[in-house]
Amino acid sequence: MSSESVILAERGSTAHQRAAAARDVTLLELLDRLLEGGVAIDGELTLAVADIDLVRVALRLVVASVDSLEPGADDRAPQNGA
Amino acid sequence: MVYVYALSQPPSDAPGGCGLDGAPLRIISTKRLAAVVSDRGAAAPRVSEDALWAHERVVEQFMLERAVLPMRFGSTVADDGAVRTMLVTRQQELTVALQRVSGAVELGVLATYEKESRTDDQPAAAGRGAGTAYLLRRAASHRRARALAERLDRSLAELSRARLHRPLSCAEPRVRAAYLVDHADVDAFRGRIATLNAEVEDAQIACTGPWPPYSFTAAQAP
Repeated sequence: MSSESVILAERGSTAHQRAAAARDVTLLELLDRLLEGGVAIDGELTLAVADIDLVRVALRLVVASVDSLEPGADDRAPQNGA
Repeated sequence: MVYVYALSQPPSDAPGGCGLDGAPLRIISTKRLAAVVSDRGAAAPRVSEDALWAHERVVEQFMLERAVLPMRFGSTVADDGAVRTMLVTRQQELTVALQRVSGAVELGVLATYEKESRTDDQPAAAGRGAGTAYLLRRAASHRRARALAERLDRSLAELSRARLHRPLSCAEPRVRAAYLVDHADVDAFRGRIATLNAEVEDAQIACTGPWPPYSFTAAQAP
């Protein structure tokens, strides 16, 4: 899938921020699926993926960057009625 | 070593294209099941954005023509015999799992909402000396996420075969879920997401995919 297929809300942030957020969201979704989902091979047949702990650190960084680029985070007034 | 990308029923034709590190793709078949694989040296693949996309591209290409079960990234076995052993010993489970995803794709749903307080909701800042307040905020955030997830489920249930909510590792203000959706319902599902995004004022709701059914490869719903 491509980053264009990520539908992010139009309100709020700049086009550049939206593009960056869409790319990060797509990468987060990709990481989550490929490393946690899918058919797993039985333990004795498989090799551990190298660097898996590094990837988990990277995943947390991506999550943090998506948070900071949350569309509309910068210019919408806080809503109290939630 | 043999790297495995996806499983399916035995295909009638060999896959074109290349996999990880440009290695050509080939098929290993048993009577009922097949695996699309490529050969590699002794090492398991290193995780990189390029390698993840290389795996994903192979699975997406293969699923254009048939139902597939995607393999987890890094699935590397010793030789062709090890692949056949897996296909034979797990044939029943894998066949049922294939039937479960046949004719459907996975769509991701990601909802984020405004934090109650942007500046002091950081665990690192609030976790010390204000533990009680932090835990209360965290509990409120979880309640809010659960309510939003239930609203999504109510609205999306009729357009999906199954769904999985992804556990969240920290008190992020977000809901992440995956839905297994018939090909014919993908457009309607996306339309429903757009409607929900407009209706729910304090949340941003987005849809990703279609993905191969990574979250629905078990024979039984969890």
